[in-house]
Amino acid sequence: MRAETDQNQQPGSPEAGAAGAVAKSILASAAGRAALWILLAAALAAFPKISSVYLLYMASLVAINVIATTGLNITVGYAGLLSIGHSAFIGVGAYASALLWLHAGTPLLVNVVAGAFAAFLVGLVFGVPSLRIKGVYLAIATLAAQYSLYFIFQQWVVVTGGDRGLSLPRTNLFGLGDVGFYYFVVGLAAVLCLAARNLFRTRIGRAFIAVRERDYAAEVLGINVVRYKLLAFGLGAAYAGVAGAMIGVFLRIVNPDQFTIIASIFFLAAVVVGGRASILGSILGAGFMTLMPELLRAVLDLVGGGGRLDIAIVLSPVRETIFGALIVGFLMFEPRGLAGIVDRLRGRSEIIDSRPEAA
Amino acid sequence: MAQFLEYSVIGIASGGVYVLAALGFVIIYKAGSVFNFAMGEMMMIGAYMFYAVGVNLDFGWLAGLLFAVIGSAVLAMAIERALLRPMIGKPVVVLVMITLGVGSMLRGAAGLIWGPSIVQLPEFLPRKPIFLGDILIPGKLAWGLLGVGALALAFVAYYRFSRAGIAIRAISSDQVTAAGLGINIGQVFSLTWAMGGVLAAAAGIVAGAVNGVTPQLGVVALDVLAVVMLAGMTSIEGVMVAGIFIGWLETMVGAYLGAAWQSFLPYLVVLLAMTVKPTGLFGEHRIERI
Amino acid sequence: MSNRPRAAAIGVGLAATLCLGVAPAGAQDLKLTIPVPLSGPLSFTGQLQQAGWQHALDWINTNGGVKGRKMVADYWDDEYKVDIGVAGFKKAVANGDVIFSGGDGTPFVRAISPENNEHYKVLMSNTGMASDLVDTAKYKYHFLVGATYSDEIDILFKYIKSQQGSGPAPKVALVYSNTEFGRDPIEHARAKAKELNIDIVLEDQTQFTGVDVTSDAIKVRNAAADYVIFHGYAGNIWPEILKLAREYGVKSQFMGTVFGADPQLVRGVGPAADGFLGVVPYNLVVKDNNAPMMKVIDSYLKTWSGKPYTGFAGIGYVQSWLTALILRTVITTVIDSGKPLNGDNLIAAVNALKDWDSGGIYDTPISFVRQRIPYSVVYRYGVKADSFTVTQAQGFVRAE
Repeated sequence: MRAETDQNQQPGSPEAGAAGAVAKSILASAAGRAALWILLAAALAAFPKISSVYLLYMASLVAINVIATTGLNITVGYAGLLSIGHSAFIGVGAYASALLWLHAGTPLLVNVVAGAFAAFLVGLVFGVPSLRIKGVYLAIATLAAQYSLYFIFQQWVVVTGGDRGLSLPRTNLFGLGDVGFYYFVVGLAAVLCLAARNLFRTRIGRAFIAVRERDYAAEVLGINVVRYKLLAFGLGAAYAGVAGAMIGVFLRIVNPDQFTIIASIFFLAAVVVGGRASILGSILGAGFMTLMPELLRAVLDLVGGGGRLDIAIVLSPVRETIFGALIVGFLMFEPRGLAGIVDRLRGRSEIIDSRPEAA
Repeated sequence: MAQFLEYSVIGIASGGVYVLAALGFVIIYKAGSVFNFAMGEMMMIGAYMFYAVGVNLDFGWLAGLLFAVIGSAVLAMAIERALLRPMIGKPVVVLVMITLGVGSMLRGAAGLIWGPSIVQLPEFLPRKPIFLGDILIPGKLAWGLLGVGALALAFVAYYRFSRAGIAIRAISSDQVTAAGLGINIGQVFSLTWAMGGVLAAAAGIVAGAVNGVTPQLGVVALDVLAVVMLAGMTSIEGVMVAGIFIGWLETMVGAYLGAAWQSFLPYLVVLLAMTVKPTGLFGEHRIERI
Repeated sequence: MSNRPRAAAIGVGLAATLCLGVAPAGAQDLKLTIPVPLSGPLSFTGQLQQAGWQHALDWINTNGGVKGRKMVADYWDDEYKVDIGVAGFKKAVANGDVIFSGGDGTPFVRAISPENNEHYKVLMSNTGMASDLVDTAKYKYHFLVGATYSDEIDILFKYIKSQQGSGPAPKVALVYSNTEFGRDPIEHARAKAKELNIDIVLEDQTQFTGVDVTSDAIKVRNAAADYVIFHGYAGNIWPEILKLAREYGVKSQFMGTVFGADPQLVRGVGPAADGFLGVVPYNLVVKDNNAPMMKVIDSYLKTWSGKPYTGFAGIGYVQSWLTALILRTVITTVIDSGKPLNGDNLIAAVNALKDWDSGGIYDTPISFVRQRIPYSVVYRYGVKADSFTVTQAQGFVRAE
């Protein structure tokens, strides 16, 4: 009954043509790929020299969102467990690392690890319902858990500062201020993305995919489904915890309204638009979702010209409409998201993709 | 004790909105296995439609009501036909995201058409309080409950006794066989979505009457999710009971514990219920075929 | 001679003329960046605020500007989100030529203040009136154009005490919303009530959006207070509680604060709101108001197509006007003193404002105290089926 064809092996479309052929040949050789990586690293390293305060800010924000999105992709994309509570994990990481810093004065890396660990534990707890329920039921259970965490963030005033939240002092990484932060977070994102990619080349990753496809079959094959489902949640949450720790340092404030369902939907959209079960997709999706509002504003400014009044009022609803339309459009016409488009241009897919998922 | 009774009566009456919205969720889910996260936004659009015809164009509340009901049904059918029908068979996360995307589009459209300010809906239910022994029930609540009750009963009757209702149940049970027996699946999908739209409009108008209407009105529906989860997503009678129960619970919690607990407690109840019965108290346990 | 060099020469000459004639308009302009709450919980006031700025700047610029220089503003929606607000702020001040930033809500101000205090040092104001904004060390460059929520409660308490005469301690019920701005003044209110010997008989925290508020109306009925204060709402929740309470036969005096006491809003509630008292930070009645600035504002409102003319101005609208006028005064002061136009000098000028004449926006000359204007007026609303009146129940008083 499931009629979706497997697009993995389709050759690049004719339009890709010569460019595709060149790209293919570069990517085909190991040396070519290594060169591209080095180029990318160099570009990222040089970026602060050529950018403005604002662009640096946006780049750092994108890097943080990449980390969070990759985590969600592990849970939703690779393991097929629908989680609508992701921003709660980010919150746990943010609060945990901020509190440790404020009360114990520990260095940044320790705080980040603490945030990741705290979020990991909470993620395991979130994962428990997934053992008995699936699909939409699971989604709503995660939603219920998100509300519970928000409640705790807001009401446990003694610890979390309630609505006012926590205020954090300035950090000066590598003595370079904003630029230092950029290097740190981009480096962190790179490491975590590589780790995730490698994870899915190991037995654990393949187990996730097996669980996603047919968990009964996986069980029969000897995969401990319980362990892997919990791990999927925990791992996704740990990534979110890292992102949370970083956002606290970045904004110097942690308050409950940063971790609502709207934020969770943002990351879900990033996963879907970028491409499920794809690290590249996580990066593209996070970048797209973060930069889209700014891009939209720039476009509207150009189009609207002098009537600045109208633009500002109209911008928010227009953005929401376009946001919704893009999500729906991607899902209907390009189910593998931005990563799918990239693959199409490259002519073949490198990621471990699968047959279409079961409902 | 008398106070407790009074709060209880109020709470039960206020569950009406939840019942309507939850019925909307369930009917759509039963036939097509789609969980409509855009329900809240459909409620919001229904309320705006009522406002547009009833106040903006000044045709009065009856015309506004009719327009809202019919308009919502049409909108719902359009959404189903254009965006969800082609996606049958896709994974859950995709369907969920599509309805979330639709919700965003509806919010944006409402913001563009009506702007961000709060608008008040016209009163059309008699306000005179009704006495029940020593307890005073505000007229609006009492009449509202009557209206909701009538609508819900009509709905259930239609569902149980009409051919369309049987068709919906057949599809819910086994899609392939139902199609094989000659039931037009597409038509039934449209029907269930239209019914969902009507229920959403009714719920939206009731919710809008208390809060005023803004493009953000849809957040009220998130509470309804708790109802649906508690009841199980496939039981029509179940959500009616659950809706009343959650309405009662929220009022009691609000009265005795305060507002902060009010939005959180239903979800806590749901979580507890789900650890006991994962598919909801009245839900059917769907057999997963390997 | 071929045509091309000649055409080129003409072209260059033309370009030069254009460049000289249309001088870069930016050089002498005073730049402001104004985030406006066009979405989120304060969105009902966003459009009004922006219009207020536009009208005010238009009037100021056509009436001599600020020592001949124009004030130019860049408006943008930060969706009431902290990270978008911070990003927009950094982008705007990156070039170092912005002399003032508006603000959209207290979370934003709290987020940006530490860095602004240490690094950017840009003069700021914002539309949220949270009580902790009086901490001038924490919010060094921020000034609040209006009173804080705690001030508003204090002023209502002042009114309540003035009505007491020789009677027993007044009984007050506080009904507030489950939001940050709803909860903001409650702790202070408790302390102040104790100090003034006011008996708080009910504290009811309600939803900000809900399905049913009957139980809150029941609580109000049971409390049998002399006064019921609604705080933390715009047009949601409290009108319904009020109507239900009236139906229950409650005889308390109902009062509202700031956005929940806006004249047009109260009018829309209908006869149930007859006799409603509202504490608002500025004069909002522009119709037939002969004070100089109020006449100007009235003329702008009459010709504005954005909203129908009602004879009243919205709070956000007046706040923008007032901020623009104060800016004009303090910028002029700093320029006159020969000092550079930076945050330190500007905030000093703000703090130095004493007995400043607002041209009718306030009935009395005002001063800044702890970087805010702690004055407000209490309106009484007469809402009948065919008429609507606004009178002053208590003239402008100071909370501190």
